[in-house]
Amino acid sequence: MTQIWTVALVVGLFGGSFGPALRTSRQVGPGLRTSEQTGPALRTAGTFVAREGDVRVQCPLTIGGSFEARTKLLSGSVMPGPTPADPWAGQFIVDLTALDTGISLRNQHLRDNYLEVGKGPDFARAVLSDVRLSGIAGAEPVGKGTFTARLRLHGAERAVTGQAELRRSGSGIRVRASFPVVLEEFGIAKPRYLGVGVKEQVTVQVTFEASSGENAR
Amino acid sequence: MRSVVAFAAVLVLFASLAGAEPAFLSKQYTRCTSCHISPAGGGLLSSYGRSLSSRELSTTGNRGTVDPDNPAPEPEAQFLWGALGDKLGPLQLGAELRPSRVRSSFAGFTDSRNILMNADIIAAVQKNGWTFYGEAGRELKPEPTFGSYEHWAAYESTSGLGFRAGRFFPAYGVHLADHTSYNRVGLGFDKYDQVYGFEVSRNTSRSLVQVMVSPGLAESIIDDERARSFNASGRWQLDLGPAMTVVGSGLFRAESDIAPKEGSAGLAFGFAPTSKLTIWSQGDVRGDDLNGASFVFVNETAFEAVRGLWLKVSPQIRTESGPQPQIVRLALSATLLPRTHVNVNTTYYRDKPSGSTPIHTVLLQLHLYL
Repeated sequence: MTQIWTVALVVGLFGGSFGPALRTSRQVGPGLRTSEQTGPALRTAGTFVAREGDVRVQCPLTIGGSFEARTKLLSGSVMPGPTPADPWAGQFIVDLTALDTGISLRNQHLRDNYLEVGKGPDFARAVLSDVRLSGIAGAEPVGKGTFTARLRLHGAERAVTGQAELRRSGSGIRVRASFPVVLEEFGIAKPRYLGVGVKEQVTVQVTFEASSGENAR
Repeated sequence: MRSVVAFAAVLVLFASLAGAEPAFLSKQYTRCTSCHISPAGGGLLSSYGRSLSSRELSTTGNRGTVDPDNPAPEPEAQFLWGALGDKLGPLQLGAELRPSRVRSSFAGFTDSRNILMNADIIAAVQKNGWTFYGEAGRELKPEPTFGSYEHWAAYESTSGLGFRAGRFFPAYGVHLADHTSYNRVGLGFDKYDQVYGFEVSRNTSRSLVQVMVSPGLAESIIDDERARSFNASGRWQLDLGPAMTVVGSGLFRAESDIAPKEGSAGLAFGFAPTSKLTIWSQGDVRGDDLNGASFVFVNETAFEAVRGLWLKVSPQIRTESGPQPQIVRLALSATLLPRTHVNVNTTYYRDKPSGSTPIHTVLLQLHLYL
């Protein structure tokens, strides 16, 4: 009897916590195709895994012009939701401690004075989750569209909206996405130094290749 | 005879104003105003520019962390390395001294001379979008005199609309630090021939547009009515990325009593494939009613070998125009920055006029920007 309750509890817990993302294609319905129909990159309810990427934060300057802060330290995995209206499960994480602007003075200002990466994990990384694509079917995530997501940055979490383009690339997908970030919304002080500053809105551009979960193992 | 003219022209070139440093495109600075007060570059460094000189350029500059609670520039990056403390208040001050030695040789002739290229005091005040800028110092024309070749007032709104009025160096093409570059000489703006004019500008994150009109070159306004004529110039810079930019420029100068109508149009492209390498190229078509058109092409490739040491290679060509033969230049230079605001520059020029032996010039200069 104890064993029955234990099994029931485990099933209940994991069934609830994973939710619809782990349902089979039959449960999800005709919206998701099988791997034979869509190719290896688009397996039904497949997980897409990214181990690195090209993250560029375009920072327009108050005096005109702009600079980029760059890092390749992006990782994470996501899984399309059962319907296009559902968010993708999983998250992407960008390590902010290695953001590089090309010169040490700017790096120091960016990391220590404004992103305050030394304050803890919530400050040392940015986390993008609850991605919802619009104009790109979750069953076949290829094409151009918009997306919304939750961005956790500088200890604050806010919704962001941007553009995304997904293309097949070998056994996975190549993702290009961009979205604006208003620094003040995340509690980031206005970057200013000796008369030169960064404007209040920066643009994040992300490019990465995500392998399908099976190939990524 | 044409070769002698070219030789004389080369000698005369080495007495002029200090320039900007567009090689810093490799550090993701696309605008002159990143480091200079003037929107056309050159001249007085801003506080930010001085700080970069200390922390990013000079070999012995400060590499320590910046105290976020003390935003004031460190003494090393201030006027006279901070000797006056905070006594200057909002006044930004700079002293520019450039003792130089130039040696040129051509067909058995050699000329060596010492030149004090610059001995200037430059001051500026910036407040609420307004800038008041003035320079005073020794001018080399042809006898050394005291004067001011730049004094202007400017305003730029938070939306990026601006204007500038007074005596200033108009914006055209890429403002290379070497004032003898073929893309800078011949415009009529290079030495003490700035304009008294009015400039409107539009500055955004991606582009900068500057349009200038003037009743004449500054010296013609002051004491040479015969040379006075209407001038107009325009410059449009479009940043294709933080380390890639394209610049289109145009210049029109109306006929005066002593010079024909002339004009110039050019396109420059700069990009930095790495944080230590910047490549600029500019092509211009120039001409006047008397001598016809000529073509000018200048490339400057700058490489930061180690911190505080920049190496440059610059091939240049200017095609024949009237009495001036086609001339091809190769310039090689090394700039050492041992301390903040101290530059030691050595440049070798090989200027080869068409149909003549080459002119070899070596320029050694100590550029103190205190």
